[in-house]
Amino acid sequence: MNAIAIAGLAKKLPADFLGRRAVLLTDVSIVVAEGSIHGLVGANGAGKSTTLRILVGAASPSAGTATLFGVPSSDPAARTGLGYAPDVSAHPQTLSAHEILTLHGALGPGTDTIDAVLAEVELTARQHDPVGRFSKGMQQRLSLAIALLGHPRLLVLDEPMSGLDPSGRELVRTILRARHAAGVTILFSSHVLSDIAELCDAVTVIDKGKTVFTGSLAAILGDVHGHRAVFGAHGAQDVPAWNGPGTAVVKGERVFVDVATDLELEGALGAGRRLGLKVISIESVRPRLEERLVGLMTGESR
Amino acid sequence: MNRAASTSRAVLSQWKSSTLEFLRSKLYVGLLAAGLLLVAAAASLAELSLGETVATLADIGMAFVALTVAALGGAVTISSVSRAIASREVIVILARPVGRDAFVIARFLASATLVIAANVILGSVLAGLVGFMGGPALRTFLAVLFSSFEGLIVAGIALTFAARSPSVLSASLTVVAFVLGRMDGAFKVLLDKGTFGVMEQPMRVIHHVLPQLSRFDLTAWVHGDAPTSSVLWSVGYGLVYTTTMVTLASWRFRGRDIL
Repeated sequence: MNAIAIAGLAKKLPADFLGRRAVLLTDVSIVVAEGSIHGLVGANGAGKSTTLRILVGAASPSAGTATLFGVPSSDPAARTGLGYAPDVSAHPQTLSAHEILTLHGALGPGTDTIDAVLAEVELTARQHDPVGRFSKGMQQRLSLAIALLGHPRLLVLDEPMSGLDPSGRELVRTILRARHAAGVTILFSSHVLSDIAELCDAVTVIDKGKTVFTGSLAAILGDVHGHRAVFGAHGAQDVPAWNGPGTAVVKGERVFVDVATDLELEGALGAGRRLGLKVISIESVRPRLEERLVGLMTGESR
Repeated sequence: MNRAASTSRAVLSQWKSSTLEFLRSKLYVGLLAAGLLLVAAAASLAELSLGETVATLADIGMAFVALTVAALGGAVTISSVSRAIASREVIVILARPVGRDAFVIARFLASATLVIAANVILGSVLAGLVGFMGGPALRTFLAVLFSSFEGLIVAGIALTFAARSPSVLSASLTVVAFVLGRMDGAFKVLLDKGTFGVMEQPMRVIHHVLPQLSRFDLTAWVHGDAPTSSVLWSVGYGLVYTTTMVTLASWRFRGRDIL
């Protein structure tokens, strides 16, 4: 079963006094398989947070559907077992972390895991302090603790690592890995593409309110972009005579030749043999994940 | 757990936390302190009156307390609801498996608790002063307590506006409703004695829609006269008006997108 299924989601705001209607989403579709960890990527204003807010029932779509475990997200029952952390950490400033978690525990997930989640996000020592005295990073970790409360089977996290220092980011990554290993489905948005590359099984890219890619990380890399032939070189003097396709680059005792097509690869191998170079390896060249994601976000390679 | 039980639990937990949140807030403490200063000011003004010290203290004191509590009911409610929406704090609550009505009802109950608590505190101080000067302390306290309905109605109106409108607009509309509601007696006299032609019926509708806040003024009763309106009718009116406002607020909030 899919944990999340979003199809053709659109969101237009009501018309303003001049009759203008802002369009936030035009066509967002995402499928998140149960047990997977899925990244949501897009530039600022692409529609990531709007999508997630519709998904957790904070707003209704103008068109399209969003379901959690097959139940429409507008139905409160769909949100049983859901843990959500927003992109902005706003908490009642005069309450303590423990009091806030007690409130959220009573709203569904129960209060028996409060101590455990406080320890998990390393806030046990400050649990009785007013949240107004917390740093931004601590408030962010409290948001994550709220999402982790109970035993959620689905986590929807909007930029969970923004505003955190390196150790805080590593803490969140560790928590996400542990929850994923425990079978929890996770959908999170992030601007940090290395986090997506490191943690996710699959990714969805949104641009201008529209899904431009959704699929596995392997799929996003797409087809092989080219080949690299590596030859053993006798010395740099061999290379100026290179008359095959591509450009030869000498690094130490190796000569690297990058080519785009199979035909060019054959030509490069022939040229190498004519120079008496020994073929050491032939590698497929793929773009880096970050390059590919940035390309999708900026409208290239569609 | 069935839906009614989970909703009740959600309302109770949010009521408790919202009450606690605002009891510790500078807004509530500041307004309460302002109310106490106004009561002290009423005592000072009463000293200036010639031979009518107790009556003046009760009159001015009750007016000041009613004003403070109405301001408190409106300000706390708008701050509570608008801030939670504007800061998107409410999204985390809406992401739980409970209906939106629970949020609205809980916020109203928290405001109601704070209004009554403020009235009890201010009423006790005022009644203590009136009693100290040999006046009807118990009547003064009960009259102040009765004026809590005014604060509850203002809180209900503020909730209705804040559920779907920005805080500044909500505050402005609530103040307008409060001022017109305070003038309902004069409005009725105007309607009864004036001739408005085709506008008469619309104006009567407006008169009925606006809160009739003068119903909750028991100043005459404190002085030994009969109340100007039936207390029981006023209680019924207060309960119905407040319930209507909370229902309207819930309905408005159901359709609000938090983006």
